[in-house]
Amino acid sequence: MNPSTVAPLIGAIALAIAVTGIHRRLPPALATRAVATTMVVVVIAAIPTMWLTTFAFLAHSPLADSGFAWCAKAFGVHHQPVPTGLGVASAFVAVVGTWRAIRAVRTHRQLRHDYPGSIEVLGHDQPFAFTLPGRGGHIVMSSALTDLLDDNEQGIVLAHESAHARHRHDRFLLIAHVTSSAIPLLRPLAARLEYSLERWADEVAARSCGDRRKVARTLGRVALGQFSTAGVASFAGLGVPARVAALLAPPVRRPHRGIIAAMWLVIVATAFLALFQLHHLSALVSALCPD
Amino acid sequence: MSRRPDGALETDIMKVLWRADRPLQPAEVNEHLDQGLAYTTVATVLGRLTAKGLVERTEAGRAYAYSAAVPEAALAGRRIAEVLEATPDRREALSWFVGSLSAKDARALRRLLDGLEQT
Repeated sequence: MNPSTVAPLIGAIALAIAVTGIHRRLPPALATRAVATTMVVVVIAAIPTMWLTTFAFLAHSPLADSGFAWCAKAFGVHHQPVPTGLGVASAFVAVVGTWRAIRAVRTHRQLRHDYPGSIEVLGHDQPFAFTLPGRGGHIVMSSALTDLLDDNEQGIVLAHESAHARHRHDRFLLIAHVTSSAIPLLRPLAARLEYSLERWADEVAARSCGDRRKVARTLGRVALGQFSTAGVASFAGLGVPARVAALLAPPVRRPHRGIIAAMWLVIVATAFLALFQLHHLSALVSALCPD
Repeated sequence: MSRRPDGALETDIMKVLWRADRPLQPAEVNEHLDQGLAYTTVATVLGRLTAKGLVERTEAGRAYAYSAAVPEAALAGRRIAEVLEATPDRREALSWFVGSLSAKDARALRRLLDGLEQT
């Protein structure tokens, strides 16, 4: 393995661990942006390394005669044998990850709803509410939710969901799903991004109704009103109880400007280190287009 | 032109039909779409929408004319019903007010809310 392909990856992983550690101490909107950027940085650092490893492995495998030799040459990896275990794992994650990432984008596009937003009440016996992805910000509430909650509480749900729509949280959600599909190791970070998005919307709802405890109570009522616990389980400590606890605690103060600047500096520096990876692609481009 | 998923074209065609004040023939739909599509592409998708019951077909001379069979809001409702029955990865693409609770989460939540009622 070439150190120039691994160093940016180690930097990006270190950044991911650091951001995982501090995201709760940041206001939710800032935490969301920091986590999303970190996920993109990890992908930029990891994808070229993964494909280079895969190609180098294939070039030295018995398949080499069947046409993989040229790509090893193109990437300049023909002199670096790759252990079989690493090669197979890398090829597997590269192919399955790409397929899953494409599927995540497709799901997002199928659900996209771009025409002007509206609110819809859907007949259903479980209390739930959600926002469709897209510019429109179409909000859906179930009839069980409108029966369960009084007007004030419904207003809180609507304020929460419109915050998702207004701040285009679907884009952050898409980043979370595409990157964690491509690289399964990013799943804990994706869960943190989703948590930060919910916290962001909770705080917007709290500002609009002026009482954080009311928002906490509404969250709890809807969550406990669901009689099925099936579905997507949340990561421990990142579910509804954590959001309620955060609303009952004093709001997170925005850190000093210097600290925020330092954090972005580290993220941007790691991003540059990761972008350096992309120079490996220039070898491929020149191999494909000799002129 | 980049390839778009079929669902997007279906939605675009539905939008044309919703905006139209009379049934449209495939060529007219294609004109309104203005995406440089082949006539057959539009006719195929219209056929599929008819089969799904989203579009109604009436005879107009030698060709058929099409109009929307469902109001705009109902389509969203239909997609939502699909989402609710669908796999986790469709549910994950939406912003939900609350996610589902594990039994442990539910206990933790009750404790928090009990504390809230007593103060």
